Amino acid sequence: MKYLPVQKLIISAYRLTSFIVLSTVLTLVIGYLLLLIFYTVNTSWAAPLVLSPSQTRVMSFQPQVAALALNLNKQKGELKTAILVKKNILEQLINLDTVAIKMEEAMLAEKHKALSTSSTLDSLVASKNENIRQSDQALAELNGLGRQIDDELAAKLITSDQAAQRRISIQSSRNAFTELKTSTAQLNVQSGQLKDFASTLGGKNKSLLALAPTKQLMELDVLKSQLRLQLITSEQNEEIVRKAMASDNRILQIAMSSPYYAALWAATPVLFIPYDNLDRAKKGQAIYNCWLQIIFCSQVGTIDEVFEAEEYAKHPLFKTELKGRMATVTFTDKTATNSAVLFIGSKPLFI
Amino acid sequence: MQQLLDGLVVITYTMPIFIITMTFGLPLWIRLFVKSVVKENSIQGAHPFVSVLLPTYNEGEHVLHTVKSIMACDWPLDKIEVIAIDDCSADDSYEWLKKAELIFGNNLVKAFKNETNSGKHATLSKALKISRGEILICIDSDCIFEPSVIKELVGCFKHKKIGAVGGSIGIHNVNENLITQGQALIYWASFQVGKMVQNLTGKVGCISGCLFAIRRPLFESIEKEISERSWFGIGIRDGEDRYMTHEILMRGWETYINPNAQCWTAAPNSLKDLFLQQLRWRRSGLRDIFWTIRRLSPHIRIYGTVALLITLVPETFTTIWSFLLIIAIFFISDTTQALALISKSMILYGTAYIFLAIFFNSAMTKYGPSKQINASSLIKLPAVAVWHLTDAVFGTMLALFTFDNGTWGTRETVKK
Repeated sequence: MKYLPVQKLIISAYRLTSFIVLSTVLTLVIGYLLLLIFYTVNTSWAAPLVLSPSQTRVMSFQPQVAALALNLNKQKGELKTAILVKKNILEQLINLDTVAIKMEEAMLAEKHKALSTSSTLDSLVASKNENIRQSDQALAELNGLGRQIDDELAAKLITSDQAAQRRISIQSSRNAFTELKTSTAQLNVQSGQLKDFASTLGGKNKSLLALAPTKQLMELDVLKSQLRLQLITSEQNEEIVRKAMASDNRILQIAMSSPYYAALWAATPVLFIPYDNLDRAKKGQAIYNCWLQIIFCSQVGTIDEVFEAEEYAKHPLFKTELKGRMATVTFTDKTATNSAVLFIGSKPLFI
Repeated sequence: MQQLLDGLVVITYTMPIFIITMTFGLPLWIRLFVKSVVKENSIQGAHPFVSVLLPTYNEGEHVLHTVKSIMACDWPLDKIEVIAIDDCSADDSYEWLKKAELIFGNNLVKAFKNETNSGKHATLSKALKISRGEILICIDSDCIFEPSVIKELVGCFKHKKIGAVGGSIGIHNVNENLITQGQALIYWASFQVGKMVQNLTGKVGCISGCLFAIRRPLFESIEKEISERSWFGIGIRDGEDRYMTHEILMRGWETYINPNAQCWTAAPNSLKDLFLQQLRWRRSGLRDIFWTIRRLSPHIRIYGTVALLITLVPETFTTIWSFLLIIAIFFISDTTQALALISKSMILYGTAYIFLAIFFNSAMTKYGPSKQINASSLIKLPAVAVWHLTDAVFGTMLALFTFDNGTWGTRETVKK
């Protein structure tokens, strides 16, 4: 009998323990099954994550961003160089054009001058030819004088000195005639040369002398062509660098707006949203946190931005790997970042 | 912590393999190759008087078939009596008992009825007082005897050390549904194979109350203890067969299962009845383990270490596995891994059931196709493995925390 109170106590304690244990097991099992069903049908859940500076993925982000920035700076330098090169080429082209124009003008002037001189020379040659013709007549008379001199000498009408002087005078006239012919011929040649010069400057191929400026002009053209090619290449380079810069700049801007970048400086709360639940994920949508994952919910923040990059995370219950996107959230309740799951748009069970 | 959980998962995977090996693999080898596992039991000299004690509850007309099968046994009719007591059935069981009495005469069949619903053991105690047999055979009221049962049971008592003998319980409603098919396999595996290891040691831990033969003086000596059995003051009415067997062993006697003493019973055909039955058995099993551990020293002295381990280990490991499974499922954070754990265990058990069914059908050939599992059902058998999971997770927990419930759950009076 004395053990009866002890027995009763043991029985009571046993029954209480049994009730607690069995109720707990039953609640856990039912709760687990309900959660399984819930997650099968629910399309508004999202998993809060906190990106911290020490996480591998965040830390690996920094060198990538730095490499992008460095590359962008290099490209800026390359662009400056490309612009300078282009400017230089343009200046050279302008200079060459100017020189070419001047050369052409000079060649034209030379041509005109040559033609003019040639014309003058032609006139002189014509005058000289008239003189030669006239001189020919006179020379023919001189030939007669020579015989006359001989006759007079023989006739002792004149002295030898007089005869010699007359012969010298005749010879001097002959020499002068020859000189005239020679100078006329020279003038003719010069005129011809000038005509050839002018003709070659006009495009024909008669004067070697005139070919030199033509050659120089052609060399200028070749140089200009080369410069134009270089200009095209330079413009293409500039275009490529500009496009690359635009692309890298865009990537850098995206990278710098990524939560991983922000996480480099401080822990950044984000939301992982699986693809199936993305429809609800829009800027400004409310975020809810619940007790026991699904009940007694309250708003804890709003979505700031949903990022395009594909991310991976584990399902809060099934622990299977899922694909989705990240969103930054402005949390009004910072403790919500510790929850296993949050909900987008509305309370999942409306309680 | 994660390493601990990983180790836990490994153990949870491998433990069923160990349990199956201990409860079926090793015993099968013994059954096939160790001759001494089945004792010689030819009756020498005069046939002892046998009283068949038949407590009845809600069996209806079936009790008449039970009595007829007893009367059809290969045993002299002048050496047998049936003491049938109805425990306030809600149906007409008592009327059928009276009819049996009328058919066979009240020398052979004596029919009684309790004044109040008293439970199986109280009814047996009452039947004991009325009976006069040297050997008592306690049976369930739905048990159908093969003709050789009494001879097979009684013949074992020629071995002086044997205090109680059990038979092989088969299922006669084998193909009623998947539940009965699964139980047919388990029953066969247990009585024809699983208990053979214990036969070798002479320490069968539990003789089924469905067919329990005992020497009269021994029954009388333990009857009071069985009747007054309680748990912290709460009377216990279930699991008396296990408790009786345990008491017999603690008195230094041997217990034995004769696989050739075949009788047939009806297995629960609904999940509710099956669950209540299994809960009752698990509860009695757990109580038995705690009782053994609480009095370990005398158990070692009386059983011997090997026999004690053979009796204790499978049941204990099955219980431990239940807890490991619960912990593994609920504390592994990865649901997919938890589901994989469950699936692999189920595949293991499911595959074991297929092989078991092949052995079973082969062994049941001599009893005809009605006692074999339909070939078309073999492919569905692995689904029975789900029961093991449910039983492990819920049955053991519920049994452990309902020790204060000493009732059968299925034998309380049901109002019309």
